[in-house]
Amino acid sequence: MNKWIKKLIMLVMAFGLVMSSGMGMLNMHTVNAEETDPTLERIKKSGKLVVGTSADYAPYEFHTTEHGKDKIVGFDIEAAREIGKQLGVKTEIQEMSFDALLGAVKTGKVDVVVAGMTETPERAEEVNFSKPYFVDKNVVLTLKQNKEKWSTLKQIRQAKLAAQVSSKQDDIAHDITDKKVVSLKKITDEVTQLNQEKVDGVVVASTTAKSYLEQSDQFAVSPAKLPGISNGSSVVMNKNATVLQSKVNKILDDHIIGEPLQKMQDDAIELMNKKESFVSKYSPYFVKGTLYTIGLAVIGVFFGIILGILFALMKLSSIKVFKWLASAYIEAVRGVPLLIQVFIVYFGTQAIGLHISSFLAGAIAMFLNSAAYVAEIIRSGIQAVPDGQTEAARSLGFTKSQTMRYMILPQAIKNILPALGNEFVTVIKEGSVVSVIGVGELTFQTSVVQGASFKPFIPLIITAVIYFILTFGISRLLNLFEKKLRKSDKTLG
Amino acid sequence: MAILEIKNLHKEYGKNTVLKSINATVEEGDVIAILGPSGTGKSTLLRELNMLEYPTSGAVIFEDQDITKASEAGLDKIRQDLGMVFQSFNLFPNMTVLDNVKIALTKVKGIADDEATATAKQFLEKVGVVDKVDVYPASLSGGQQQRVAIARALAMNPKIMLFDEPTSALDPEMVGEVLKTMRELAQEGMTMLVVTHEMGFAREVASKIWFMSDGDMTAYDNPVSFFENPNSERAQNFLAKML
Ligand SMILES: Nc1ncnc2c1ncn2[C@@H]1O[C@H](COP(=O)(O)OP(=O)(O)O)[C@@H](O)[C@H]1O
Ligand SMILES: [Mg+2]
Repeated sequence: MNKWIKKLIMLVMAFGLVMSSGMGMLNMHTVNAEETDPTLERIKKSGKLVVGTSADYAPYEFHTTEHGKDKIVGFDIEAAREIGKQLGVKTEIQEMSFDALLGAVKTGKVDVVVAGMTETPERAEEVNFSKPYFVDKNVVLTLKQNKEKWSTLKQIRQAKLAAQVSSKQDDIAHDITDKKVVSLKKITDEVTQLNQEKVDGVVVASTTAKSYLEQSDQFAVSPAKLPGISNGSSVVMNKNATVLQSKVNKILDDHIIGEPLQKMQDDAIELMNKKESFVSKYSPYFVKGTLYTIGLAVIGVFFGIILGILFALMKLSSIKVFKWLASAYIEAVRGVPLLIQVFIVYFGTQAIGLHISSFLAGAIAMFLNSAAYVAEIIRSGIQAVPDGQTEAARSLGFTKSQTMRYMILPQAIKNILPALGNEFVTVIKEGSVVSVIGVGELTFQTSVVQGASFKPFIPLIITAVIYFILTFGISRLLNLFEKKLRKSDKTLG
Repeated sequence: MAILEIKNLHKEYGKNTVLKSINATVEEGDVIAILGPSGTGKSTLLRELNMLEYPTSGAVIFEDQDITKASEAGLDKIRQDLGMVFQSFNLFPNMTVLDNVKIALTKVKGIADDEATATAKQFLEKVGVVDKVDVYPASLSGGQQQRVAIARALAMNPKIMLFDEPTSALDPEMVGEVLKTMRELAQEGMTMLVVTHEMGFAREVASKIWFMSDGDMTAYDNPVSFFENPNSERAQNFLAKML
């Protein structure tokens, strides 16, 4: 009986194998230039659709917490997942800043971008757009108490407006006001500024405005009708993705536009307004941010030490070129703000064709920076060992490198270690600078929470406390360590 | 037989001429006291005898070899034969007294650990600090530290000992114990060059005097002739100040 079943299964399997390979051959035969394109090919091959988005644009795409875990949701995301499903592949969401999206799709870092992006002639030269799956108009979001002040286009000409940098809304904002426009990376930042009356209004898509209205009763939408066409949201893909484009258009027509999208939007708005305590909703941001901050500091100091040792040795060497190179590097790094160095690494790598994540760019900038300081710590630690030590060792017949190993380094370490500990503390604090390129460390997460919670102050205090615990804790630990070091060395006691 | 010959040894630091073509000879068993006002190049001269400092020109002939032309590796070898004791002791603060004396034996000479320990203790005994083997230098008095430094140099079994003001950094009550150690060493026949301001030591222990002033050196083959009849104005002035 058993034997028979086994044989039967094997037969079925063999048949299946023949059939599927036959079908495969059949497919191969019918493939021609119009049936696939490089992007589609890549999606099929990897079995996943990599979707780029900038998750700070509720209810299109935004962060939420589910069972204490951070998640990117929104109706764009639902739509993207539907596209993946219809293509028969998994969907993977990749977050980056809005202005990095086009580059990502052009370089193939992501397969498509679904980020409420509107087709413009300039963009259409760079990438392909699907048909718009959702058309939204733009409005000016204001504070309720100022509603009367900004109700006509004429009044708005005197308003200070904010909009997301390099977005369609940004262009509109520039058109409708005479004042300087505040262009920010994140909608949440813009709304925070509105909240604090630093700006009078924010130009946003009406869907976004609507969800803010539902979330809090301090906002209002100006009735003024903004000029220019309303913006449709399209799926963005590579210029070469012509077949994918028509497939996506068909999926949009058949499975998304209309009722399904309406439901996705309702779900998204509901998620967005989910009532949850501040702690359970936002603590994952702080936890994640803290881990990133520590990770950055560890990477920064670890590689900083390796590179720093190299530079210190170069500076101490008797070879002039090395000396000069090391000095030049150290002086240059110490003379330029870390913020600028972060930008240089971030955009510099892009410019030379290296597409690295913002975290990696941030980490690289941190350790390149730290290396200069570590090099000086090591150099001065070594030079602080009296010359007499070298002379005594050499006069006994020790070689240069033996002298370094047995006499200089063991003594220098005692000068170097405490200073390296301080450098670690400094790096933890200075890591906040890399938030500018969207690295999700503590400072970055703080601004996310500030915007999303409409509480500008409490997140800052929480973050300050976390930084303090980190730096103070590490300082205490280092002190203990130093004391231990001292105990084992009676020369200092 | 000359163990060390100094030929036209010249040293300039930039425009500052520190040694003006010095010529001198050291015989085996010589105890030479190098005297002179400070800043006249005594330390520089001493440090050029083991190439801690390189001369601008001239030669230092040690056992028939011009060591100014020796390779880096060759010098590491030669320096083992030229023990040096410094004004500021320069013990290694990260090592115990025993290790200070031992480390060059094991790492430079490649002597086995237990043999090195025995040798080190033997020399520490000789200078009278054998009861301090396990402490760190910082807990010793200056006089004890300098005696450990002497033991450290002696343990390498050098052919010449160079002393650069070995008692100048000591409290007065400790000068005697170090001079006593050096006196014993001289009596054993060690070849010694001692930069010092201890006139008593120079007069009683030295077999020759080198008097230095402004980069010039005058050698006196007999200490008595220097102290009784220095026949140079500079030496007379120096002695007048010192005595
Ligand atoms: N490394 C150096 N660089 C420049 N000048 C030096 C250096 N070492 C010593 N000198 C100068 O050489 C001269 C002699 O110094 P030194 O040999 O230490 O004299 P002494 O030991 O007789 O007091 C002094 O003028 C001193 O300033
Ligand atoms: Mg001197």
